[in-house]
Amino acid sequence: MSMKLKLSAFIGVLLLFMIAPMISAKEEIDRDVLIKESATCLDCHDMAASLASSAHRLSDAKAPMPVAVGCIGCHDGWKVHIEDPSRDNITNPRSLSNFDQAGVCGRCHLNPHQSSMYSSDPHSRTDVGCLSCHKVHDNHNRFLVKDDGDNYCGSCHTSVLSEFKRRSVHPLESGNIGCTDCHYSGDNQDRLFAAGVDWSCQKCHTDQAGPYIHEHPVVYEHLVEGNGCTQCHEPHGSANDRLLKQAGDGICTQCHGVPPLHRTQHSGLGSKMACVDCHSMIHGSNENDKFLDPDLGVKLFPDCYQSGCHDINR
Amino acid sequence: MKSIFLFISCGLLLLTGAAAFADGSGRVSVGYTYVDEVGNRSVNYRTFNQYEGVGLSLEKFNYLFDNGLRLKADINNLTMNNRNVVVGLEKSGLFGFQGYNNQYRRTYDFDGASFTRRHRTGGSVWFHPHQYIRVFGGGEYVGKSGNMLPLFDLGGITTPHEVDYTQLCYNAGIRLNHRGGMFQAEYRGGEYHDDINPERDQSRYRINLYGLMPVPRYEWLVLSGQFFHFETKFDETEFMISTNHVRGGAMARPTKRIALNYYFIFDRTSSDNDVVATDNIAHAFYVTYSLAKLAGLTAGYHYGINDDYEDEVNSNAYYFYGWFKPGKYFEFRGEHGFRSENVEDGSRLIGDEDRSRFKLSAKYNRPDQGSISLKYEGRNRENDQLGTEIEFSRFAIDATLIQKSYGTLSAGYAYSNGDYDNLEDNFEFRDHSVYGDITTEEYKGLDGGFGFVYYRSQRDLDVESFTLRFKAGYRFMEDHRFDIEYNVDNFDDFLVRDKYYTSNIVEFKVTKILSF
Repeated sequence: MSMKLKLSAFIGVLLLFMIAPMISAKEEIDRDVLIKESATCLDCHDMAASLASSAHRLSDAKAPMPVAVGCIGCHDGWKVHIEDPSRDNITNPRSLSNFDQAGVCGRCHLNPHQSSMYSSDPHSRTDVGCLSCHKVHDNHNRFLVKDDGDNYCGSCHTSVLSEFKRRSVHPLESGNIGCTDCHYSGDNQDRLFAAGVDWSCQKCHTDQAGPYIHEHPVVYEHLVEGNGCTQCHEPHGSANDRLLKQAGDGICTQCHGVPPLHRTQHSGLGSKMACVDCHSMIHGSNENDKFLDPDLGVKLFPDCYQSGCHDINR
Repeated sequence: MKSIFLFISCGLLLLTGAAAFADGSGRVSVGYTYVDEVGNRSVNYRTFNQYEGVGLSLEKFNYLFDNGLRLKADINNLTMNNRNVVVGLEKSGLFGFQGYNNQYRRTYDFDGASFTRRHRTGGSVWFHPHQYIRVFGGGEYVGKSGNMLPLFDLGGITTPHEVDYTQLCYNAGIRLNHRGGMFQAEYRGGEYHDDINPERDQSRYRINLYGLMPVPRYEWLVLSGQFFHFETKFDETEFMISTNHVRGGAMARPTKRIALNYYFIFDRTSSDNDVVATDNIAHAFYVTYSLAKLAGLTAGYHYGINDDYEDEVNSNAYYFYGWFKPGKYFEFRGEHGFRSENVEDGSRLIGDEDRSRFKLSAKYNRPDQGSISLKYEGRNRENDQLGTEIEFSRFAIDATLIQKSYGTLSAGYAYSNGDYDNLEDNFEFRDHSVYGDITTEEYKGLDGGFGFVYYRSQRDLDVESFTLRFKAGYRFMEDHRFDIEYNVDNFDDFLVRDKYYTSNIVEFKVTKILSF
């Protein structure tokens, strides 16, 4: 494809995206009505104080903000309810299905995270809605999540939390990372099917993730097909050191057989060596297509090279 | 760095003190942590980031100015190397800012001389110049330095290698919202700089466009689309890897009970190092039938092609999920997923692959009294041509008991079982985790707590570890507290002689509870 054609296609897609929100036709409440009528709610509902210190602080007509917040923005049926106050004629978003909850929150919070909650996010198919994780009244926490410790996912995913009690773990309990550092619900990737590109690990472990001149395919797979790092590592916690799925050479022999000469030279009593003793650049190498330790010649020069088994240039 | 954070926290306190007609809450504390440890410092992950010294903290701080400006801070152990700082300032509907900093130490050898330290500092900001426009951006600076040891000792020679790199990431974007439609454009950039191996220096960027709109007059139908371009490039060799990703989707709700979902993905990843590129094409369909708050059933199908020109792998996946809530307090869930990958053209090392998993769970939950949940999970992976197989299963039970006048008791148990049939050998493990916490309510100013974690792994491994935690607190002068916490950590690997560890960690803390 020529450069001109590529540029035209890019501009076309960009324009299409930009036009999308302009031609949408959903009804929305006039902001003056929103502020005025929401103040009416406070005549009966003593919520002003609890909302005041939260991110859902009610908008003030005297000091308007670009985005107005009011009770009637979420609670449908308010017109009838003001005339005839009853529990039955006002909508409590908590009683709605997860799809409808996402629709209510999406009136203001329309973003990739929210929209994925009623499309590709696995939560959307499991009756987990916005209010399962967020508490919208009387809450000071970031993003109005229920637990500011960032481990609120654990209230449902209890067996995953138990993985963080194993031998080697990611530092979740010390607060250095949180669930959403890796599981960002909003990139529209379906984790179950691992479709598309997954850069979660690379975000912190850039030194291991490459790209390398000589890629270890399983790591490269992580970059292009998803799921790569987790072929060898348990990301939450493992019974082995360094979050590895298996101890010793098992991690290698789940895919690779041991070459015959290695069997005689490297498996005997006293000469037993682990695969990664020599293949230490196992994530990828810029020097060597066998992922050998670049200092191998210095460490074990007589054994590896003077014996004639290995070529120092490979 | 410490002085900067001290300055910031003192500034926060002064700022809040100067404001009138405001309200807020939080806790300021000063304490001392005493650490006594024996054994191998590289084996017990839970104590890697523990330090001895004086800690100054400002916890759960929340301050609302009369004009609606809200200041938040959660600053733990500011004066120590394991500090964890989060501060935020926002005005609802107008702007927000959040910054953070934390450090993590990882120890690699017996006496703790070889270790690396990773620090993360970052922030994000958003601003609404108009009702329908949101501008956002942020950045993060990550640095890791120190000495690492290899996983195994090379012929008895243990040579630490130095690590020293930094990474700077930044992003900026704009989002337009209007009547249920949305468009977002974002740029993300990053620079990685390695002081030890400068040839690994690299830079990357990602341009991301995302759009969503309900179809006019057919608002039950929502269309979405996404495009991003990602590029990583080595500074020295100019070796480059890039990805173009396109995603499109439609979500329809013809009735309140039925949701139909379809999306496709096409992405191409290529590098200038070789002539091939890898294409990923995916189509996914889901049908969900749900009765609000009572029951739901989802069935899904996914078809994928992974094609790198030489080899092509096709995949078919099926997914079923069901949930049922027969009463206010009961909940049952079940899930089954199956994925089959077949090499259509060419070959790959692991050949064809089948994966399956299923999950079952039951939960009884009364928010005022407690909850109990049972879970069972099974996973399987088979590579027939290679002759390898993995079986994994886990059973977990968790319970919480709340008695408002006495306190809270929570406990859990998880059993995991893994069997790996490799090409050359097998690997098996069975592990048990038992954990619990008891927290008492305050009685005459006194409260306390006890917690424990016990972990045991057997078969090809023989590892045992436990943590005991004792807590006691006393409230005095209405809004002051004195707390003492004693932690015992123990680790034993019975197969390796030098892998044992015990620590005693005591923390004393005096806290002033803030209320404005």
